[in-house]
Amino acid sequence: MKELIAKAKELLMNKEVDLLIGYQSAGEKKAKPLLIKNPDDADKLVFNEYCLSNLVTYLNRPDIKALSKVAVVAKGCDIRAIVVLLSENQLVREKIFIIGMTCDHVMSPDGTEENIKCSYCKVRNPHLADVVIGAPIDERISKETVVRHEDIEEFNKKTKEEKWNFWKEELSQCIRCYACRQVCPLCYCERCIVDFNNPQWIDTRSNPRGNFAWNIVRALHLSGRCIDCGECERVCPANIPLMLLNRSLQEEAKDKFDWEAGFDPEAQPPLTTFRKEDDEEFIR
Amino acid sequence: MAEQYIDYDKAKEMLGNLTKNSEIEVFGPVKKGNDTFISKLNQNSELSFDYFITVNSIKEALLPRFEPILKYRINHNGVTLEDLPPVKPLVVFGGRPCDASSLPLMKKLFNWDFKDEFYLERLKKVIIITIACDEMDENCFCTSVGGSPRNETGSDVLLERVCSTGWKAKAISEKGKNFLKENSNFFNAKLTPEKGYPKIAEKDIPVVFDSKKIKTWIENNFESPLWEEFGANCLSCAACTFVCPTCHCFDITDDASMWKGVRTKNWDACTLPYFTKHASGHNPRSQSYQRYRQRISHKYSYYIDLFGQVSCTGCGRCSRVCEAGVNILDILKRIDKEATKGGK
Amino acid sequence: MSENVYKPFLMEIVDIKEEAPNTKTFKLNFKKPEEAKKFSFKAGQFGLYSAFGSGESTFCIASSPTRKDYIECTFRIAGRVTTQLANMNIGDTLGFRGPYGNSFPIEEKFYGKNITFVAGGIGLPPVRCLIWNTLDLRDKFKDVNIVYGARTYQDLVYKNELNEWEKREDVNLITTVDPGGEKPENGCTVDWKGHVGFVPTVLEESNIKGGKDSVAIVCGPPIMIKFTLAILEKMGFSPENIYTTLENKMKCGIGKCGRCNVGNFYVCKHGPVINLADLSKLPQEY
Repeated sequence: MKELIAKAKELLMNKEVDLLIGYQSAGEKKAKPLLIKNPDDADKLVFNEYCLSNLVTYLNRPDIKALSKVAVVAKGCDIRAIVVLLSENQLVREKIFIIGMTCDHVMSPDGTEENIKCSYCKVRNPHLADVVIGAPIDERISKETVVRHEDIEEFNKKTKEEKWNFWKEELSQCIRCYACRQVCPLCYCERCIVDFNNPQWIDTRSNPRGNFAWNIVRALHLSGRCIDCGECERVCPANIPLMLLNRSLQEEAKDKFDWEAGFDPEAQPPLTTFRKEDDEEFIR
Repeated sequence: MAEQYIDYDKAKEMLGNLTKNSEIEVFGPVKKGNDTFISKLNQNSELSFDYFITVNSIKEALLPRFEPILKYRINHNGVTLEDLPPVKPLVVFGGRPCDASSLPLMKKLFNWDFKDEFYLERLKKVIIITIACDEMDENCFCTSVGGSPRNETGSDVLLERVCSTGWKAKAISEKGKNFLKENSNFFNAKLTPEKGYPKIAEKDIPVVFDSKKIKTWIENNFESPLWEEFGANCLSCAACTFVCPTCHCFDITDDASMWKGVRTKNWDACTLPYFTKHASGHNPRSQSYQRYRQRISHKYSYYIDLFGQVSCTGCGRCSRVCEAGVNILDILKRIDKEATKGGK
Repeated sequence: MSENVYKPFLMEIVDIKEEAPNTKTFKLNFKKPEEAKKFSFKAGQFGLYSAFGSGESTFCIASSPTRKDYIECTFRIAGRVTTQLANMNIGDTLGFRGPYGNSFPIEEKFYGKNITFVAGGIGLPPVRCLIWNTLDLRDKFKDVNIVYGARTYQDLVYKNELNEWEKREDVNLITTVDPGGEKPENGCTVDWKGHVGFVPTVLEESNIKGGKDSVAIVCGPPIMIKFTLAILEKMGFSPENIYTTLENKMKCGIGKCGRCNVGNFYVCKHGPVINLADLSKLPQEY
């Protein structure tokens, strides 16, 4: 923690960055984002297993994007979002300072157990950072391991009708607050498809048609891009298991393209690249 | 009349019974994951009564997420407007006093000059059965805005917990009295009040700010840099406003096929980036902190100018639901402190 | 249930004028004569116009309240609703709710005074209603000045009426186009006789006089309003005597939906007409 605070002070004091985004305590077993411009506020910084938020999402906010340089505290899993944003030309590498934190695990949102995403984490040690803070941590699984999710296997055993009823029930609870979109580091569209009304692609009402269209379109827009931070599911005020959708699409990307987003800044994402040997004809 | 009690089993039976009647809409507490929600009940709903506070508010019932306000048919001769089905009577069970006290507040707006009969009719036809609080958390502040854990405002029936599985019922309004009479076979549980209930008293929720001071500060400090600080973490979703019992902003949209259509009123929120954006691209509130300032100022200043009352019941739902860590109570306490310090 | 406040009157389009590129004026008759009989409004008020299937859009009533039995509205294609409206023909049905909002205080504040209208581009329709209202009661006022400009000649709306006002002895009309707007390559089809220059500049160079007895009504794009207000104050117009109409985004028009308010000022209820003295007390959220 001392090292983090010292680094933050140094960055702000020397005006190397205009803004620093980190975590502060929000009471016992809770942390929340901290956005600071003043070096004196750096003493509020914390880093612990309750630091769940993926702070990378703030880098997309228009007022923050307008700054000349911003430092962000990021775990390996969060850095995956930076990698995707860089590969999609949404960030300028020189305009961000990544304070990478080594991290064994964070807790589940209710603070009772290890977060499920940490069990198959491959980046306990930040893979892209300007400075790494914290002792190196042994990776539990190798980069090559193909992760299979039990809940998806379980879900896929359901019949079509059962699946339909499951999602019908779950998505009926969606109130269309767009917390999932606003918290997602990869939902950066200046104008989201749901905010278009001419034509109205997606029904904005919280009815079955609108809710299915919205949640499925969002999942599809994240296919091959989602970095599994789980923020959408964590913030959903209706407790909808959104990661079930997102992770199934991640597995598809793995199976079809041998692709996992957010690890290699040099790699070309499969859905935005064209290769001559591609099967599909439509693009030629 | 003798004292009336209802226990969990009878409450389930009563609500189950009410849902059989397709002529009324019944809302009650349903558990999902670790949380409880006020939901529209059907025969399969699994009711849960062991909750501290629901994530959403009873607004869900009174101001639906969306509702038709116009139906029309389009034909060669033009357009024909069609009648809408009448608003059904409702029973809303399981809100807290900080839910119910929002109703008279919202009524002022929907009754302001032009009468929004959709809300007002529902308000006339609803039975609000509120459960007094016997738990609180660090986000509760009802007493600072004139409420209390046992506040009767807006309720028709108030239930007070007397043991781990039941409540004592009290009729607050004429509607409530009739409801208790009509459903007396459910409000006849033989319960023995246990010691230790209710678990909290009004004094457990101390008054922590002066809303008058807050109003004055807001009036004089629109340009204060503190607003940027208050809204710094805000990511501009609508979670806080949608769970809020008094946030009432809505959008109006048409949905039509070639020959017929419906116009609906849908929840919308001042915190969302597109809320005030003009077709020209101009946006009077383009930044997230400006939108958050609007939310607080509307509740703690503008609403008072219009209707003489703070438009916040102190339920703390917005803080609980905000995963970016924007906490309304922290902000109000800070404003109170600033106002005291600055003397204006 | 009693009356549904969201229910529009059904109106028939009886005339369509192409005013400028993407800008049209509709003349609308009430489908039900009894609704027409009951209907009245004041200059400055607005309404919500429905294109059934697309939704509602807010514009002022552009005709004068002194002309009964019909209303007119002028709109520019900007979004979904105005696109559908623009595709409608004479005889088609649209919806109208209103009149809503406050109005210009003609009797209380304008009678016996010099009236100066300053408008830019699509800002003329909101004051056209008041212009005709004023001209129909011409003897109640002293001088009447109209300063109107647009980007190009093509963008000037109500060209016929501009000609009519030009001819009148009792109206001082000053028209202007932005530099280049008078050239044939920018769509100008006439030998332009008006001024060339921006509205605030042309206003400043005119012989129009400010002072206690003078009222100005300003409407146009935000940038024009900003510079015009400064000029008007310089010319001796007092902030109480400078009026404009606010155009915040609206949905319900009746003070419920929470979209249009600027501080505690609901544009749909307390506005849209506001004088500069009151406007300067509001937060800059318009």
